[in-house]
Amino acid sequence: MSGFSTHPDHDFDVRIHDALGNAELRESFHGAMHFLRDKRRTQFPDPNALEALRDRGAAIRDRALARLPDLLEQLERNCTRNGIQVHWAETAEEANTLITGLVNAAQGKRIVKGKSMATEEIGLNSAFEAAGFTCLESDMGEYIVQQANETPSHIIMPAIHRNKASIARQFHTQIPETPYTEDVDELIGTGRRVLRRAFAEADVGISGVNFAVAETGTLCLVENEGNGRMSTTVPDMHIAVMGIEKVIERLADLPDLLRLLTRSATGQAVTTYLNLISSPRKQDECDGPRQVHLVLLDNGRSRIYADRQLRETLRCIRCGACMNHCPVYERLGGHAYGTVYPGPIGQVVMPQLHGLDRAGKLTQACSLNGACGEACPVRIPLPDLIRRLRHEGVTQDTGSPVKGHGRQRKPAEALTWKIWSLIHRTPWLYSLTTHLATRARKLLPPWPRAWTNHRAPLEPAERSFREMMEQRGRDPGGKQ
Amino acid sequence: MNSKERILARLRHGRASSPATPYDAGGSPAETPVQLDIDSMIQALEAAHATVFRLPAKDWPNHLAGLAKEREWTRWWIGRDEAGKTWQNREPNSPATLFTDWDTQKHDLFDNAQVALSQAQGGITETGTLIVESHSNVPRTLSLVPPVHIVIVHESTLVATLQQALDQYGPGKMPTNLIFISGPSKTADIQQTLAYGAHGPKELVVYLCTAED
Ligand code: SF4
Repeated sequence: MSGFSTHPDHDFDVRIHDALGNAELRESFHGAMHFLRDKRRTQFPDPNALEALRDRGAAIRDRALARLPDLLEQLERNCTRNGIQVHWAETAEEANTLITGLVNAAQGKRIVKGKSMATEEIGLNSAFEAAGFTCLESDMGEYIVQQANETPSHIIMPAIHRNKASIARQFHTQIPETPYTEDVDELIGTGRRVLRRAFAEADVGISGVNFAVAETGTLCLVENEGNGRMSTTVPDMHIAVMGIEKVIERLADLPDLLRLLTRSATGQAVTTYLNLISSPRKQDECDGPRQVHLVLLDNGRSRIYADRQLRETLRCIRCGACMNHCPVYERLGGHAYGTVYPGPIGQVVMPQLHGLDRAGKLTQACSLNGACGEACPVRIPLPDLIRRLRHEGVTQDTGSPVKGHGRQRKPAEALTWKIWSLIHRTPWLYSLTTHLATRARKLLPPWPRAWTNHRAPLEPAERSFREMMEQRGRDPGGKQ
Repeated sequence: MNSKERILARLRHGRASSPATPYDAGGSPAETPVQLDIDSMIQALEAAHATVFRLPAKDWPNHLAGLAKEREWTRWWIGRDEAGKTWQNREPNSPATLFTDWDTQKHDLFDNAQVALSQAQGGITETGTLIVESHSNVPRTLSLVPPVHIVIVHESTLVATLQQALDQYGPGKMPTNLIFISGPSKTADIQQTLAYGAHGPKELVVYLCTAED
């Protein structure tokens, strides 16, 4: 089950409408976003220290991106030396074929997966289903969402849209011999019980990668639950999937990035587990996977890389802070976007992956308030990028690597702006228009319904601002 | 050209056509240096829901035996590390299971193990973190599968920060699996309510061993 569309623009309005009308959903997100924002704030008590840390985070990521092709080759060399088998995939299809091939070769049937956005991005679960494998999501949130046939609504907290009563109902009806309970400890206990059996019996474990260290050939995974460790330790084969931008130069780059990641994501100073995997089980060791594979996924990233401004998108460490701080995301929730990555980072990444013709409308769901850009731990200029993509969506020749530019252009809208611009560039026309608008204000047609649905109709003032100022200049002592 | 070559070619071409964003190569130095502080380690571990005992190294076996009795822990699993050996000598009559063969012992570990005992190679005082390396004597699942994990760590092996801890590793010095543990397993995936023992141990007991006397 993937459930994400490659045409997120389709029915975006309908999904927005539904999300806004769903009181339970809005309450879940309202509570969760406030909770996460507060937790993050308490982790960064000193604003100067935070800004310095963000500088370092952005610099570390830029330094890695500046050397990206070289670091990827270095990573491959060191992983190979350590016994990790490295594969490259240009597209989602290629990655899925490659991974199902690996599972087939190992005669694997039962698969467990740790939380991984890269595998969501390529729709790996659907590919597994088509190949006849069962793949169980093992992160508690992902497990809940998968069992309900839904998709994650947040990149860090997949089941953030659900309350405990609905999860209690789900477990009670879907897992045999599970009494109804809203006790969170018991609910987690149920998940633990089911998933433990799956871990013990799995042939293959799939995971994402938070960072990969080029100088040592090491995969870093950050988590609290232990399902990532289970998925990468217990099955005989471990397959890690990572976007090519996740490589960093050296081990010493990790502490600053981790500090930013965990504090920005969940407001934790440290996560329960930091798992550094450098090789499969060695001869004299008694557990751990016998094979470790690393799939380096491009899927549009090298195209993004060619543009200096868009390249900044690749600094992303997938912390989710931008969505936690986005007033639109808070009101809509993740599903309304219909994309793997929702919220501000999704509005920037998805049009770049799918093209502006298919995902350009997403950029409209933004008030350009700037909160995401201020929250981003690696200083990705999200509002600038959203503005740029909006612009490219309605402009023809931009020379940008983003596909589908100009495809959001509407003739009537374009004409309106043309006239607007002409009026503002031509003084006499401007005076004439304001004069007419103020004098004939009672005669103007009613404002379009989309505006007046929720607002009072607007009416031009009796005199233009300019006329009022002129009047005041002539009559300084007169009425204010 | 294969996929790898095409990806690398695109990246190299992209880099040539639009040069890198300038960055501050070194990054500014870290804030005030963090000192090695055992109290803050204890605080952090306890805040993360771990139980901490600090006592001279020779005293932990007796203390743990008392705790085992009180908690009625019986099905112990150990590796061939210092902690495992010491424990085996202390309790020769109630042998712990020595974990040596994954294929035959895996299901037993999942189904029956109650407590695991292992040695940590070090710790980080700033964040209350234990450093656990996998190697031939210690299976990595020992610190993951049983519901209770007991860790012995010598204070002489502690460092202040993750940066200092990572300085000890590097190219050619990475264990197969290097794990940093900062508390029992947990999740807040259901309505942001914290629950312990999501997939790993529900309980983490740490013995911080001071140098003798
Ligand atoms: S864009 Fe920035 S804030 Fe958003 S997920 Fe990426 S790193 Fe986090």
